[in-house]
Formats: sequence, structure tokens, C-alpha cells
Amino acid sequence: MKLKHKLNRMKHHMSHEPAEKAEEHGQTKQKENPQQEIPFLDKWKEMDAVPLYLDEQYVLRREKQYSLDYRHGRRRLGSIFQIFERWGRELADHPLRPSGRRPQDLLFFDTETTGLNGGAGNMIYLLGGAWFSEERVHVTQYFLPGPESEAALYYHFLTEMEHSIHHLATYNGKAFDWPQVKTRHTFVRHEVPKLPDFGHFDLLHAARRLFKRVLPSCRLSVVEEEVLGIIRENDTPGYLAPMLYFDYLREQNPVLIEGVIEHNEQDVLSLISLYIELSERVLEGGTTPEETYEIGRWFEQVKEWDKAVWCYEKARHTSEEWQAAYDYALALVLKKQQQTAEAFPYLETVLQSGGAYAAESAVELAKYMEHECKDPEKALHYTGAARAVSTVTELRDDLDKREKRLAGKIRPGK
Amino acid sequence: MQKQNLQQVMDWMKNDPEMGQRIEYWHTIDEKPPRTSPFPETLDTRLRKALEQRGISELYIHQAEALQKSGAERRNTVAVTPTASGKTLCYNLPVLQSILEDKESRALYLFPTKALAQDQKSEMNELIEDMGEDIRSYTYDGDTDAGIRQVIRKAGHVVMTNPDMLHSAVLPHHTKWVSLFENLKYIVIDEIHTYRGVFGSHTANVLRRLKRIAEYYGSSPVFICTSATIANPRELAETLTGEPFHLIDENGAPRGKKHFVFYNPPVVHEALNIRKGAVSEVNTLAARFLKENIQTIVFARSRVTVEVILTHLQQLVKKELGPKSIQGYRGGYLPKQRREIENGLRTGDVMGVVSTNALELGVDIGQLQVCLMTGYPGSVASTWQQAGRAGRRQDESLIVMVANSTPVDQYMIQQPDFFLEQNPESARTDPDNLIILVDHVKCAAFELPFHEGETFDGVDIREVLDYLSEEQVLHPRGHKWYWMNEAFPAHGVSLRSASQENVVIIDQTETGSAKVIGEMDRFSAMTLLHDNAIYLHQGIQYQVRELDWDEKKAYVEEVEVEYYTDANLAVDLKVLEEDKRTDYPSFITAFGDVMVNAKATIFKKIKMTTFENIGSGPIHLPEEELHTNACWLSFPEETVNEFGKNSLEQALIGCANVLRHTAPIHVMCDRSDLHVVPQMKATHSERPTIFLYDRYPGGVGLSSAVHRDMKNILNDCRKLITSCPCTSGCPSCVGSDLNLDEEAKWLSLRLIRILEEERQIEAET
Repeated sequence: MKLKHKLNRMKHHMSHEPAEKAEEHGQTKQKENPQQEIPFLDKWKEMDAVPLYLDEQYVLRREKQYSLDYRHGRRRLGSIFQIFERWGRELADHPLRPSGRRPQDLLFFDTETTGLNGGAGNMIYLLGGAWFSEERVHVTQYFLPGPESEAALYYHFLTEMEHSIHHLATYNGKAFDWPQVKTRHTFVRHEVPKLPDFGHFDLLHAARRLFKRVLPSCRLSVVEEEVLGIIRENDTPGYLAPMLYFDYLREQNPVLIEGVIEHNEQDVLSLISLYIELSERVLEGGTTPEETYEIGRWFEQVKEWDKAVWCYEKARHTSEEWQAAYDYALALVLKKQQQTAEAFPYLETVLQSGGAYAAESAVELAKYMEHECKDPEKALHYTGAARAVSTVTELRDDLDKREKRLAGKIRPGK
Repeated sequence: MQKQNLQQVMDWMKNDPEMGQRIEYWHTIDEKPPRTSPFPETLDTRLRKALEQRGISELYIHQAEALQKSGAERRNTVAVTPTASGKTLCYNLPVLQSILEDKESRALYLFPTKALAQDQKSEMNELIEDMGEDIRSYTYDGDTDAGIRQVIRKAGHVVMTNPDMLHSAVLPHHTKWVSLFENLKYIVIDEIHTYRGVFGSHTANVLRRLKRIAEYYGSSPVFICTSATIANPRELAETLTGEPFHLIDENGAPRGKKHFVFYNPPVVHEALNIRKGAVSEVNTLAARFLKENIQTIVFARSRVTVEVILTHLQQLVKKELGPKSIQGYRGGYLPKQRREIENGLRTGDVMGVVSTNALELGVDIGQLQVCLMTGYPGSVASTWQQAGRAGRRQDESLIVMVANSTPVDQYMIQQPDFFLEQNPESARTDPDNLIILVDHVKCAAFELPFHEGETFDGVDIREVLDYLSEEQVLHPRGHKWYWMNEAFPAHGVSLRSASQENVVIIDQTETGSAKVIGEMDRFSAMTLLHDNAIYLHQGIQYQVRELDWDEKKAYVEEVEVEYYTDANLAVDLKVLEEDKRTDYPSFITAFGDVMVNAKATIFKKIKMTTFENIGSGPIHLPEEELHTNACWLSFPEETVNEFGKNSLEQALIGCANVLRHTAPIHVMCDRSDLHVVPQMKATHSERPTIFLYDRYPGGVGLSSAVHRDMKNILNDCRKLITSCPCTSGCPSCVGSDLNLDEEAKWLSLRLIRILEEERQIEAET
């Protein structure tokens, strides 16, 4: 056993990352043929899970149901139907708009994985989804009992969730969960149905838009507590998910992983509440002037100018505090619609205030005077004004160039 | 005043009496006409037309051979190609031909550096443009824009990258590269001679992983490699890839007449045999050429020397030529900067380039007329590579090697025949270094689970898999071993650095805007980045304010001082296991596992101009431990008695000094990769012993190569000592250690004779 010897001797040159030494579990023997006898099947049944087979492999499916009146946090889950109706009456486009879909077409989706870094070796061991039928909310979770059963996992998930998998609502799923699903799917692509093209509501992006400035972080747990009024008790934190799965693999006892499965269930329910919450706030035009302003910017991004203008105007009527920001945003939207003349008074106001955005407004005014009114002298006046209120050095070079050009226009030939 | 041309300057060198004294030997290499063969019938007409458009009407014989063997016959080839001999077509032709035949074909190119990949991409794209075909060739490295990465993965016919990128960004994400791996026809590895030592061991394992993934997706690519002139290109290619190779060593490229001058600076101190410094001689010579507007490239071994020469030359010719006319090249330059140099050389705006060995690596900045080497570059192979920089197309060129006072330099310069006749060195690498192997088995398991009975490209790794399962990194299940760990293993493995945990160097000269300026492996950091050490970076002096050993950070500040620092390393060596051992009448040679404990003790401040010791200070750092391989020579009681204890100690130190220079040459590594330690009382045997150990955990085959090649190494040691003109030992041979007395030189020689003779007798009987 010379090699073993050497391996142990050189141990400290080789770090395997997991900082914690594994507990002394001793026996790690696996059943040679797990599908013949599913370990702890009774416990699984207690947890509302049943095995589903594919050839030699199996996967565990856990199902839960909730009534439409169930409140997850402050929101009634069934109120999604009213939200969809209201979206139906809304004319403007918006990233959260369900456009033609029914609540039954959506899958609120989250995964649990063996690592957080992505890559081919990062395995998904739990695919969790919440979906609507006409009378209930269903949570369906597919659990991977061991790394050899991935074909079964994706086969049953893709076949059974066919009805709603085309429209996912996730939290950071665009960057993490779905690319990881694609990665693992590649390994079993010849044995299971194709991955669908899908529409996607990534609620992390949406939450960031509205809450970035008011919340310390946009982690789902923070949003739940601060916005949705969801308090989790005895929750298993997400970062433990990989470790607990490794423990489960050694021990096979579902008790070890129960907490993660419940955590995932809570996550997908929270996505429903969050979707309802975000939609309502957007439809209402915000609950605070700051939020109204952010919603305006969101509409602006999807070129719904009228909606954006409406939001900015609403914000400036309800709050004095950030007036300059709202006015400036308003002026820029107007300018984008070639309504520069209408933008003029707002820019003037911001400039007069002398505070935030004053210099930027002065530059806008100078541009307006130079290019549209063909009045270089007035333009020069505004560059002077910009210089007077500017605090940033980066603006100086720009102003220098502008002034030089304007001077040339005023006194041609010189 | 009329400028002289190269011919006139050479005439002056030949006839000037003072120069005559310094020129030890003037070697002329005749020109060689091109050897070509016509385009083969099978060559795609589009490709043929594109070549013709570029003025190529025939192929050099080595290009034709590569096209035949790797193209038509689909065999792995390795072509030995000197600088500027059209090696690119050796791989571009078969690759383009295969893509023209089947648009689904893909090829992966590996270059040792990003710069080389960038260079080759432009060349490839010019050829593709001339064909007017929709063939896409991209570089894929750390600078590649995120937006274009997806396009490259899906639609790049030729992907040019480096082993590091393959290791950490491509293979661990192979599911995003399905179309590449499913259609991979060729793997091109350029400059394979650079994959030696630790870097070679890592790369060999990355290639094992690459082959494994290719096989998983059902492709079996052909390898095409190119190498500079080394002794064992085929063996190296086979070691790196684990595949059989066809060797292409008949080169058809033409060559102009070359003059190779062995130049020895004059002796300034007879008794100590001290010569004038090579740097100042190079300065004088380079200035002479540059003032005549003769384009010159100067090579120096270290970055610091480059800076010194550069500054000097720039000042010297500032008035005549302008400061921009001399450019430095320190490696890591962006393609744009290199293009500027290249352009400048073409237009004559740049007259001179001062470079570290970085340029040795096939980066094409154009050819110059004169090449000056500051000291022997350290190996025959790199000497020829650097020499290849001089000689534009088929013009005459001059190469001057200016010797340092070191033993090897003096030996090489005084025995020009030895140098000129010597075969270039072998490049060695050991893919089975246990630590490196285990690291890559982890990465491979992350990429794809191992199944029962599977080897790692022929290496039985069952025990490694079991070990990793016990460590709970892998999870055995059914008949497979699955990656079951949160980590992304490739991030923890660096292909280039000698140890995994590097010390980061942080410049805090400007308060509030501290920035990272470099990193260094832990072992070297002990002696180069200790508190108060003077650290040179890009020619700027920094002093280490604090070395935070736990956090692996060295905080430095810019200073201007007249000295440099030199630290002492106390080494303790224990033999853990003796794998091989041969007993001779008066000594033993052995090879095995050792544990090295090293501790930095004190540092000295040495004045730069006079090398005086002007102060010292303690170093407070913990001891470092290293498990590695070593070979050693040890001497029993009888030899000690016969030789005399004192005399043997002298001989031991002397021989160790010589070995320090000769052994790295033989195994083609840097002097700092192979440590030599003489001990009068080795811990394991209490016998006088000389150890040579690999400075990388687990060893990378250096000391085992020394063990195998001991006969030739000893032979070289003897020649080196005898050819040194000094009488009783000098820094150029056995050293001038304070502990050495006047007998040291002949005592060392006597010891080496004993070693050689007994081995001889042993071999005959």
C-alpha cells in the first residue's frame, strides 16, 4: 500500500476545500442495487413522497396542496387570479405582465444543488415547483436519491411539468438555476425529453428594481421578512443544502434532508407571494414616491414613455425630497420623445435648485440651445451655469470642449 | 560621418586586437537553401489559391510532411521547427483542409501564452479571409468578451486558448461546448518544449482530462505539435499526450549565413579570475551596433538586467536616435504593444529591443540583424532559439554570446566545441507526480464521474479514487465515483505556480490606493519577501513593510536604496523512503522521498556597486515543510577516513557548487527548481551526503532524471572544473565560499574522479 502511504504523507499539500472534517460515520457501504429496496421508504411516505421509476432508476416525488385562500405572508395565494385580471386590463407593456397566459401556465421554480459555483460537476438534487390548478395550489418536488438517478429525475420532471414549464418564475433563475438545469440535462439528453424554450420572470431582477435602495440586501429571506411579511420558523438556511445532501447520501435517511425540502417548498410559495406583491405595486404605481420613481424608470426601460411620465409626475407631486431627481428624469423622458420644449421648464427648475442634477440639467439646456434653438450664446450661458454648479471633475473636459466649440460658433473665423 | 554596415562592423571585430583577445571563438554557419515540394493534389483548391495569393507557390518539405501525415493519414505529428520557419502552416493546413471538407469540423489550439494565441489568430484569419470562406477562428481567454463567448462555444471552428483556460474555464463547463467536443478533429499544441517541469506535469494531466471529455462526446482528435529544437520532441509529445507520434525533423526552411561569436569579457582581477561584468560589455557592444543603425536585439536572463540595460542604452542613444528607438520587452505585453514594436522595426523607428527570455517563445516581432546574449541563456535549446531572432529572411546575421563569470558560462565559452556539438537538452516532465495527479483526478471527476475499471489515460487510479472517497470529496455509488463536494476544484489548482498558496504583493506607496502588483510562491517568498527585503519589480525598488504570513500578503512601498537583500535559508532534510539504491565501494547513490524543512534565518544587505555586506537583520518566519523527491550521493566511513574528514567537506561543498550549475542544464530546469544541499552529517545516515531535490511538493521528475543521468552530469562537472583557468577554485567553478580553502578545487576533482571511475568499473563488470 505504498501509494496510500504517500497520499497520506502528502495530505497537507492537497486541500479539498471542505473545511469541516466529516464526522466519524464509519460505514459508508451502499446497497448495490438501490431500486430493489428503497431505504427508509416509510419515512419518505410520511413526508408525502413516492418513488417514480425509470428503467433501473428512481426519483422521489413529493406533493403538497394548498387552498387558494392560504396566506403565505400577507398575501392570499389565490389573489394571483385577480392580479392576472388586472394585468389584462393594463395596456402598457411590462416585464411582469403575463400577456395572455393564465396562472395555471406558470411554474414557480427553485432548485437545490451540491455547490454554488456552477460547472459540470455541480449537481441539482432537488427540482421544486409550485403551480396552480383552478381550485388549488400544488407544490411538486422531485428529489434525486443518488447521483446515478439523474435520467429519472429529469424524465419525470420534464414529462409531468410539461403544462407549466414553459413559463418559469424564479429567483435568480436566469443566471443560476436554469443554466445549471441545462448543464445537467446535457448529461442525460439522450434519455429524457428536450428542454423547452421558455418564458421567464426572474423575480430577483424585479425585486432589485423596487427594493435595492430600501433593503440591506435583496436575498429572498430579507425580501420575505421586510416586504412579504413571511417569518420562517426553524428554517434550514440555503447554504447548508450541499452539506446536508452529502450527509444524506452517506446515511440515506431522509430526515437529514427534510429541512432542505421544506425550505425549498417555502421558497417556491414565496415566489407566488412575491409575484403578487410586485405586480400589485407596479399596477398601483408604487407605495412611496421613491418606489413610484423606480417603477417609472422600469417603464422607461421598456419604452412605455407615457407610463414613465405618469410615474415621475406622481412622484413629484407626492414628495418634495427628491424633486430634482424626478424632474430631471421627467425632462429626459420628454426629450427622448422629442418634446424638448416641454422638458425645458423642468430642467430650468432643477438648475435653479442648484443641488443634485443641476449641472447635468445645465448641460442638457446648453445642448438644447445649441442644437435646436441654434443659439450659441445662450448655450454658452448654460455651460457657464453648469461650471458654476458642477462638483465632478469628469464634467470639466466635456465643458471645455463644448465651450470651445460654442466660442467658435459665436465668433466665426477666430 | 558615414554609417558602417554589419559587414564592416564584423570586419572591425575580427581585426581589432583588443576584440581579438576577447573573442574566444568565431563560428560561422553556412546558409541553407530552401527545400520544397509542390502542393499535393489533394489540397483543397480554395486553400491553394489563398496560399498562392500570399506568394506561396510550394510548401517547405516539413509543411508538406505534416499535411500528409496529420492531414491525409490522420496521425499525430510533432514538428521540430526553428524560429521563423513557417511552422504555422504545419497545423493550419491540415486543420483548414478538414474544415473545408466538413464544415462541422472543429479544432482546438493550445498556446502557452495569451499573446501567442492572439498572434496566431490574426495569421489564421488573414488566410481565411483570402479564401473568402465562412470559417470562424477565435481566441478564448480571460480577456474574451462575455458577449461573444457563447458564439465561440457554439460556432467557433478553431478555438485558440491556453492550458490554464482549458483547465479552469472550458473543461469544467464542457456541457456548454458540446458542438466543439462532438466534432473535435484536431488538437494543436504549439511550442510543446515549454511544457516541462511543473507546468508540463499539469498540462499533461489537463490533456488527459481533455481526451476523456472528447471520448465522452465521441470524438478522437489528432494531435499536431510543434517544438523548438530539443533532444526529445517525440518523447515529450508522447509523454504529454499519452499518444504515439510521428516525428517531423527535416526542416525545409532556408537560412542565411550566421556568425556565432563567443565573447569573454576581459579579466580584471587575475588572482580571483574575476572578469568584467557581462552587462557592461553588452552595453558597449549594443551601443556600437545601434549607433551604426544596425538593428539589434539584446537578451538578458532577468527582468532586472533588462531594465538596467534598457535604461543605459536609452540614455546612450537618446540624442542620436530618440528614446523610443530602444524598446523593452518583458513578457505579458499586449498584442497592440508588440505590433508597435514590430512596426517600428520595419519602419526603422525602433532600432533595438531588450528582452527577457519571454521573447524566446515564438512571439513574432520580426527579425533583427544582431542578437546579443547577456550570459549563457541556460540551455542549448534556448540559446538557439534566441539566436534565431537574428537573421532577416536569408540575410547574414551576427550572434554574440557575452559570458558571465558563472561556471557554466565560462565552461561554455571556453569549450565552444562542446556547446556547438552538444545535442540540445531533453525536456522532462512527470505527469504522474502524485499531488498534481490527484489534483487533476479531482477536476476530472468533477467533469465526469469515474466508472469502475476506468483508468486516467492508462494510469490506474483506483487507490486515488478510494482515497478521495475517504476524504469525502468523491462519493462511490453503484459502479461509479461521483463528485460530491461544494468546491469547484479547478479554481484551487494553478498550472504555473510551484505551490498552491501564493503570496500576493501589494504596493501601498500611495495611501488609499493600494494595488496588487504581483504574486510569488510561498517557498520563494520566505527569502524574497520577508520584512525589510528589497524587492525589484519592473526595475523599481520596493521595500517590504510587512509580510503577513497568515494572510499571504506582502505589503511593499517604493524606495530608492543603494543595496539589495540576500536571505539565508537553513535547510533540514530527512529521508523518508529509499526507492532505489546502488552501492559502490566508496559511495552510495540513491533516490527516494524526502522531507525538507526550511527556515529563513537572516538577511544581508549587499551594496550594489561593490557587493559589500553593509548590514543584516533577522527574519521571523515559521518553518516551511516540503515533501518531495530527491537523489543523493553519500559516503561511508571508509571513504571519510581515506579522504580525510576536512578534505571531504571541502570536496563536498565544491562538488555541490558545481552540481548546482550542471544538473539543471541536464534536466532542463531553472536553477531554483532543483536544490543542491551538501551535508557532512545527513540526518538519516549520519554520513556525508549531497542531496539534490525537486523544489515542488511530490517532485516533478527532476531529481529522478538526475539520478538516471548521473554519469553525464559527473562528466560535465569534471570538464567544467578542469577547464576553468583559475588555480585554486573561483566563483566560476567550485565557488569561493568562505569555508573553502585553496585545496578545494583539486579535492572536488578528486572526489568526482572516484565517483566516475567506480561507476565505470561497475558498468563493466
